[in-house]
Amino acid sequence: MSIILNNPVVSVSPHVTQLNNTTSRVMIDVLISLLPVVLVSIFFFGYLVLVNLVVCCVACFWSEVIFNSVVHKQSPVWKNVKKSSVFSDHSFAVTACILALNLPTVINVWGWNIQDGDSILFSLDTVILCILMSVFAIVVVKMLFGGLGRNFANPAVTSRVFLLLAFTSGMIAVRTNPFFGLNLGLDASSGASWLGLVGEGTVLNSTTSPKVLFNMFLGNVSSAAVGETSVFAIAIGYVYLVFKKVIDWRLPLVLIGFTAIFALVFGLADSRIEYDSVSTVIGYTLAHLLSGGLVFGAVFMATDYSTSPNTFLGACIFALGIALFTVLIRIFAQWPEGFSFSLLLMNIATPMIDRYIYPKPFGYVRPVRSSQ
Amino acid sequence: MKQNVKHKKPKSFPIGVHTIDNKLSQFAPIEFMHAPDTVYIAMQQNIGKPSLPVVKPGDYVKMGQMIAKASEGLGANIFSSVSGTVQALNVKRPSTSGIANHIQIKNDGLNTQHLLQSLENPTPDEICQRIFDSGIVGLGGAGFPTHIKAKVDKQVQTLIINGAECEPYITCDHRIMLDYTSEFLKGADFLAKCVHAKQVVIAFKNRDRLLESKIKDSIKQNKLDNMDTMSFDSIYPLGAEKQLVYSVTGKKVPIRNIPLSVGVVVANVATVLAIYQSVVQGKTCYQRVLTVTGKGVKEQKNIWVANGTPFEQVLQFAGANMQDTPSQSAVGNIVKLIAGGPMMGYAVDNTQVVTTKTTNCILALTAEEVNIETPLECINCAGCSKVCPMKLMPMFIHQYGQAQDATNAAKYGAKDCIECGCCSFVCPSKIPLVQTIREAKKVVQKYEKTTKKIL
Ligand code: SF4
Ligand code: SF4
Repeated sequence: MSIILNNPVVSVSPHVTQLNNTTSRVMIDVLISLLPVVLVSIFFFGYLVLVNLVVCCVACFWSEVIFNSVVHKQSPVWKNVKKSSVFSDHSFAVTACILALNLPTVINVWGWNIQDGDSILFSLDTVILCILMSVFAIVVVKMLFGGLGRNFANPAVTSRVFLLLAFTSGMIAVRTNPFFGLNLGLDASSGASWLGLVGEGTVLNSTTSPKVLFNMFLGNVSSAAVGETSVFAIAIGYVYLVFKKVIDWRLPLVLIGFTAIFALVFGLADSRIEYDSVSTVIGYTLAHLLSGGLVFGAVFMATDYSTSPNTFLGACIFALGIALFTVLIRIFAQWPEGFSFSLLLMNIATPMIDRYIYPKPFGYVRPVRSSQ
Repeated sequence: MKQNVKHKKPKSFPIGVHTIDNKLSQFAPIEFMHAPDTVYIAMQQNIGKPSLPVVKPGDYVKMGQMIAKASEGLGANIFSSVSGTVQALNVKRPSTSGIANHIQIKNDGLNTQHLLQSLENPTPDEICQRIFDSGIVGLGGAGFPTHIKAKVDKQVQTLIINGAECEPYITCDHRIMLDYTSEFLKGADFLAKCVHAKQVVIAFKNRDRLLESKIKDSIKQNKLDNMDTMSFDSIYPLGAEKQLVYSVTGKKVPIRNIPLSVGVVVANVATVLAIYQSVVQGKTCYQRVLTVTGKGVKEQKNIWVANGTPFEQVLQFAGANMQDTPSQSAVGNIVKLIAGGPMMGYAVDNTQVVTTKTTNCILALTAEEVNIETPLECINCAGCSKVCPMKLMPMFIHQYGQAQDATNAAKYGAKDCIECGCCSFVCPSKIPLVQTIREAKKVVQKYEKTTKKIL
């Protein structure tokens, strides 16, 4: 008798790896962390959010599948379900969720809606645009650049910017809210958000009262996209991601911190606003942080692996850039969507940051230049 | 005079991974295993060139007698681990690094020993000569000839004995320190004398409190007042040379340099015991303590094994599953056999590979212990660069190495990788980074050779 090795596996060390740490696990964690945001969005904006979400998911899934089978000649998914890369990582779902949360409930371009009085029950435009966005995000931004991990920019944010430039006028985050019909004290059905007011220069000091700020924190305000409304829900997701070590806890905080600084500086410099006390200045800064896509983007989009720098120092530069451009665009360009643009910009700058900012090896000594 | 180490509160090198410990054989005292009927002694047991045989087929050799002498440069003598007749030279057998030359010796079972003269109050030069004569190399796995390390040309402040044993599963050093405490300490003292070290620090993981206090007591009893112990947070790779030097002394060893450049010498526990045995008992380096462990064997043990024993015998001794025909589903089947630890060891596909001086562990892993997964694309999560103890960027080395871009691979540190495996360990995409980094190293070397430029 002897010892027989059954199909012994010979591979390079290490021979054990971290259990439960796989790409799909990472993606599932991100999905879980998005759950509070999704729920809160549905709570505030109604079932249309869910419709968008499902449409985006289905569209993203099929774009990836079809792309893989056409371009990469992978055997079509219906023949080989388990082995398909779509199933092995769940990244399509992450893209779809972030994309859906980055959209308003209704995008009214052609007016193909089913309406009941004033409230829109179903919008065919939105569904069509969701599909378009998903295909754009998956095929153009992600797959054409080499798939997962190779995309040059965050697919969701690129789509959003694309949509924004194409169909600005039609984007409305209508608060249908047919299930709950709650009104938590602030009339939020109007389209103008706080950032819209900043852009138009009609900021009134009273708009940043503690009550308004608190509503902003909870999400009971109108916003340009459904996902970014509730800072509270995003914070829960952030805690989960940090707890699971999916993201570096420092990056979102650094980004928000930088934004606070710039908002403060430019806010003080902005002659359109009159400050009567310190509290208005603070209120103004806080309102900047709590509104728009900043917090949502800082937690879920700026931390996107492939489009953010790989070193902490690099990430700080990245955050600095985003914060600066966000505030500049918000205040001076009259465009409340500052965050999306600046994130896209810094996404594109990321390879360059990684090129110049990299750690020195442990025990690095500057090579002595031989004198000539 | 006792000198204080710089750090007040010793802190381990902060970067690394927390591995599962799995020290299954921790409580198994060191046993003896009889040498098999035939041993095959490898001609390459250390870094450097293979050693040169000095016996002919038919010669009678004693246990501990030299059968191959050190080649020029980095070399070490090799000794017979049994008494008996040399049957053949240049026997080609599988080894951890492909097919290699072995000397086949038939064991006569008499164990007639060939001992060197024991040294009383040896001078540093005598110790150094003795280390060379006994063919002692770094027994921790690297196999760097110790006599070269011991020939210091610089003031040595600290001798660090690496008792951290940060690799999972392996327990041989731990057991040596427990079972041979005073021998081990004397060996450390000899080495300290040899390198003129001012102080000796024995480094532990802070999980090994009991062992540490035992060593402390023994140091007091033996009145070795230049010795001290230090314990650190258990993080892998605490025991890696440069990281250990930093943990103990707070000094950074410059890249591509040895610890001696900051006045430190690092030695392994098993090496130190071998020095004691050769100085006091005159035993050459022909056997070693190794750990045979993993769920693939029934009894996880620490054993003295003769150099040149096929793994099969060792596994049998530890009660591995024996069978005549391969069966797919049997529980306890070995799916991966590793010479060394799970993080840095070499996987072998053949139980006929033999033990060498540097085999500190034979690890028989079953399917439940290894997770074999297909690599996916890198998602750029930077997980690997966060845990790299050399502060490199493994994903870029991987990427540029595959693209044959030597300049960029070197820029992100291909040449400085210590192959500790932390990066592959944490990679969620299960990319075999160590493998691709090795390939990248070759790309860089080739580039340097062809262009004669040092990157
Ligand atoms: S790159 Fe090298 S030194 Fe860094 S973690 Fe990977 S194997 Fe270890
Ligand atoms: S850990 Fe793996 S997936 Fe993450 S950056 Fe490194 S190589 Fe890529």
